[in-house]
Amino acid sequence: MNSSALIFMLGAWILIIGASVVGLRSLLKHSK
Amino acid sequence: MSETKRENWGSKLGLILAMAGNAVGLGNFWRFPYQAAKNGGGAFMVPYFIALIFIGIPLMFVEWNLGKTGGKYGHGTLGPMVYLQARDKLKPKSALGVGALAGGLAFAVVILVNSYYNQIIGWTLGYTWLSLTGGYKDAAVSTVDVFLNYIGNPVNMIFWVIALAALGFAVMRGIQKGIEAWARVMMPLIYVFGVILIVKALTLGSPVNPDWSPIKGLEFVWTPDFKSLNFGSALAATGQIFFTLSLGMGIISNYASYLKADDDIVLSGFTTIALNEFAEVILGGTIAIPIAFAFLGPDGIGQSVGLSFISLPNVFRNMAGGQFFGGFWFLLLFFAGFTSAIAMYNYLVALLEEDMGIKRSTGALIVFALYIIVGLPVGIEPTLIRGSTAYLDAVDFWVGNVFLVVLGLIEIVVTGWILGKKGLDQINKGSYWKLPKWYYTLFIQVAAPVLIIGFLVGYVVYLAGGGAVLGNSLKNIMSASPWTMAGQIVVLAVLVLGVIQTNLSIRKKYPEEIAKNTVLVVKE
Repeated sequence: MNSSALIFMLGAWILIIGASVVGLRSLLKHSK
Repeated sequence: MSETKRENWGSKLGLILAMAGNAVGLGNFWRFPYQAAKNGGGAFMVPYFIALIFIGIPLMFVEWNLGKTGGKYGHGTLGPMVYLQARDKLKPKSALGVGALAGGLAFAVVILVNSYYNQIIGWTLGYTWLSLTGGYKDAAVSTVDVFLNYIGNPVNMIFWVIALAALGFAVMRGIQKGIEAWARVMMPLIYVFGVILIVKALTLGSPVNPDWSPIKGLEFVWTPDFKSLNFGSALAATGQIFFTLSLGMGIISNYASYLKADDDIVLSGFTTIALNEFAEVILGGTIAIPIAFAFLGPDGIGQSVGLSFISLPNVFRNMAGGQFFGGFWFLLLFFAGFTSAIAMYNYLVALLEEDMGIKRSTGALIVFALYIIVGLPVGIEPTLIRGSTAYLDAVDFWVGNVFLVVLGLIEIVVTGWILGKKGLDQINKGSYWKLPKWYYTLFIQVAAPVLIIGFLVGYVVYLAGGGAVLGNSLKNIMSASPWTMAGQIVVLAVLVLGVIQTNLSIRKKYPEEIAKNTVLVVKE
């Protein structure tokens, strides 16, 4: 896999996974 | 105005799973991979993320707010919600017109999208059955023929009816015991099935050709090939954002109408988008294309509808454990489609409940009958003319592409420009995260409406110049084929009916203030 594709893909994945985890954790924290 | 006790969501997790289920649909797993593949892979992802940030996210906040505010007044449908936001500045009589148009568009979308969306959900259920029973395993019959035989056989419409009956049963049970309960089961399963399929996809190796591997497939999706980027792919990317986030349909607002008056919008809307993008970009982008690439090479991944229903069965029939993984794939598609279709179904049941006083269980039966009627042309056409989907294409062109965007524009203009800064206060009220003023101004009042207007103008110019979006050019949509014409007449008739229905509904709810053209009913 070429480096530009790898960086683009991993960058998008990290942002999306990070946003999902932060969102869910914050919501669960508030629902306690 | 009649006061009815509205049901609320049972828990925050249930709400988020239901909202994510609303957004995560066939668009994530069936539409996204072939859109990305056809429009230059990585080059498609650039306008896709731009549209997500500048249109998708702002519009999601706007739709949640329309719903929460409308729910406070007992409204679950879009017409009265838009009326409420517009009436201060426009005065009730003019706001009635805007509300009726918005409600009419939402009415047309939730009825007509389901004339084919539910059919496709029926196909996924039928193909789950075919996968598990080895129904397409015979290599002597091409998977193209398997598919044409499948949609050409009226007996297979039973899967469509089963899917509709399951939807009706779920909606009949209400918000907490129906929609929320099903989302709690189906949504985690979508992510579990998705991860299992990703692991399988990425460990396939190169079974056919040493140059064809799943990683090469990923490389295709993610390499920014800017030479393939053109106006058509930018339009397709923007359309995909509306479709995947279920924006411009009224169904996000309908779900938000079951929020309590002090419930959060910003964090919940943001998390809904994050979970949808997880399902689309990570799961949807890492299953179909790498698998298809490993077995079929670069030429095998550019097909449209065929990627899921023709190319992948061709792969599953040659793959170790293919019956099992094929079953997983189509069941995942079924769950994803089901959790979105249930939102559209509920919109119409809410309309019957709130506008006509019909109780939920009866309403669910009426919508079941309605969906059977509007879905029949889509189901019957390929049984009469082998492989023909002209009616479906005509309905999808207008409703699935144009109506969503026009409705999205009305919503964001009404909130950002007509309601103005008051919209920011409404969104932030009760929210755990607060939208800053600069974000509201820059994204909701400027970027999103300007980009959507640009999209619509560009769409018209591009089509008029002979371009095609999703394979639909103006020429074939305006063709004199009787099925195409019938599709367009039905679209127009349902839209007109929707506008009239919404107009009457708003008048019935606010008779005095429309007569006096002054805002009288206010709930803080």
